[in-house]
Amino acid sequence: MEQEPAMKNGLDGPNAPTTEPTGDPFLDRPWENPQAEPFVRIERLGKSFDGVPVVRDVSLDIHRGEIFSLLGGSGSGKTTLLRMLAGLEQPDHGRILIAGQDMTRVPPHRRPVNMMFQSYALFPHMSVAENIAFGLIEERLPRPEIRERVAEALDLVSLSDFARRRPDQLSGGQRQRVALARCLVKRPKLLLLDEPMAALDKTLRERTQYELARIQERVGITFVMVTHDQQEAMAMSSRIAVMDEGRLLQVGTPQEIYEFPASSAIARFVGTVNLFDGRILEVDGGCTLVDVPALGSRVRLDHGIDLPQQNMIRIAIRPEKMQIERAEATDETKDKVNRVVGVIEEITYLGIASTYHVRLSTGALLRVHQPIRTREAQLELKWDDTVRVSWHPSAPVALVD
Amino acid sequence: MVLPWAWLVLFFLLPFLFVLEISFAEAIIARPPYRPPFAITDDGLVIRLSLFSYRFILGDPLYFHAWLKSLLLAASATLLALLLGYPMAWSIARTAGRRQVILLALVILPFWTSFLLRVYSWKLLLQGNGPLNHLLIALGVIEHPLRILHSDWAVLLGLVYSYLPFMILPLYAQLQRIDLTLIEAAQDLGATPPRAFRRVILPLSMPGIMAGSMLVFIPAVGEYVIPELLGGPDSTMIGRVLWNEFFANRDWPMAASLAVLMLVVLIAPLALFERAFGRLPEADDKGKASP
Repeated sequence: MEQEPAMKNGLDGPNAPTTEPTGDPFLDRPWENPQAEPFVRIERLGKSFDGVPVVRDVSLDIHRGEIFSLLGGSGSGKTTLLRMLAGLEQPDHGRILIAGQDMTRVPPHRRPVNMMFQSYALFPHMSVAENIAFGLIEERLPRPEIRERVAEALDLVSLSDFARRRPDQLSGGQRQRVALARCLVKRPKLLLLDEPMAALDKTLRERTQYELARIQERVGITFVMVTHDQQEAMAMSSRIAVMDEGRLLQVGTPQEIYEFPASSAIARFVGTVNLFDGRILEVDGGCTLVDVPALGSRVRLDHGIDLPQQNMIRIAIRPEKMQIERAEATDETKDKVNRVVGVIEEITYLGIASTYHVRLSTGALLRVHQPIRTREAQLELKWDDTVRVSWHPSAPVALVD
Repeated sequence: MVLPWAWLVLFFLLPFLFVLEISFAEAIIARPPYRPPFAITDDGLVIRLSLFSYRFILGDPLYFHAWLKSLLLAASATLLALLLGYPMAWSIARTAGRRQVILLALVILPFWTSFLLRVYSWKLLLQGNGPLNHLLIALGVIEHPLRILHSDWAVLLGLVYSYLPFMILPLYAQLQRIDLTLIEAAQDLGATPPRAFRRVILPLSMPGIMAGSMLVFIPAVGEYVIPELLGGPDSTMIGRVLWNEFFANRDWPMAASLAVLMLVVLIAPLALFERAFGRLPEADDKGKASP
């Protein structure tokens, strides 16, 4: 394997790492370039605690300049995977390569990697500036350089006025920025973030997501982030790896994960979804017709499927990809494709949209998300109204679990 | 607020003022064996302050040596207790659940037996034909019995043994509050494990180290029973000297002066402790939950 060229991922080199020759068609999506050398390569990594496997045979490539998210519930192994990247946990088998160098057995203090802990782990007996200088002192840098780089890092996270404060005199958001600055000042090749927003309240969280992405762009350091919050992963990441029970379920861009989930588990975990079992009636080139008993109708998909007729598959339709309109009960005709009739059982008004729970005559419940375009629209549909729900053939996704 | 002050005045300040008064008195053969420095006679209030005891103490090298030996033995015992107690406190703090309770109970268990008995049993253990010497000879480590008993070594051993729990308990309380991710953070930022200990864990342990050291050092300086039972004729610690002045020589002013001087010497490290650690931030990670 070829060595990565020596690089300096510095605060002072905002466009150093990600720039490649202009005109590169893979500039924004290096993972699609078969020739691209991954920046982090995880090879068949496995880890058990007391005989219980936590990470199972995970292989993953992460490219330079990415914000890569490990998304999963608790116990999915995402944090253990992150801790193995930091060197805080030793894998039972497998390898970790960073910038072409085998890091599997390198202790944490010698890895070009820094981690932002979920609790931030700021040193309570040190001021903000001392916390940030901690790692530079360990590098035995000359005093003037430490002072300069600490000032630079404080400036980056807009905390210059708080240099002398102690961590317990800071707000949660400020503490998070100290933790970030303490990592970035080391100019790591890779920054690991363990649930970076978990300790922040909701409004602060959204602002911080944007702020973090902005800083990442500026310093050009590759981020690997662990989160259980799918919205956070979608909002920030270049790519997401969905994990469950120690395995990678799917790796892809936020759009790929959301629009083309690989399984119903992923579809359910990322966003809300209507899931129904169906049987393939006919596959004809670009189209598939599926009989869905729970809907009491048939679903047409605008793509073919590599399965024979009569095979069982699962149909997933996102609530926002359906239309809802008032209808008469008599509209319920026999030959229906991509539309059903039902009664509104529940309306959740969200301001920017409403969620309708529509009960079908088959007993199934359908969730439909409808943006509210005018002020009056909300009033048009009421509880117990009979409605027709329809969707375009491109809306449903066929899943084979 | 009133109660603690009342307590201090009643049980500390008042008795101390009595001792202070006696220390300035003149020793006489009487009952009580001193002439009070303040007396109301027919001539009114008569004040007769005597500095004799203080002069005598400061002029006789015997007292100075007893002081020095006491401070030295107490300091050595404190250091040894710290070196032994720190790893013990650390492992207790890092043990989970029931086992932690059991370990803590084991630390406190010796207090259920009389202090005097426990020190006395060391006398039996250490004596010339005692179990320790038997064991060492049987193992072939030594040929002739060690003469530990009635030496400063025996006193040191007794001090460390008796006061170790006073070191472990405050240390445990402090160490238990240290967030272990701080060690990981230090290593992640490039610190080797020993450096992480020195720069993060040790500073955060300081309040516990100081509290434990005070709790061992201060009573160890004035210890009477241990040097009396385990020490030799030359193990004249100041507590023993004081006891002799009071009970053997019946020189109350002399004993009182020694007590006052002892207090003065011991207040100095306490004051330093207050200055250095009175305003140290909390070692726990309260920040976790708050916004």
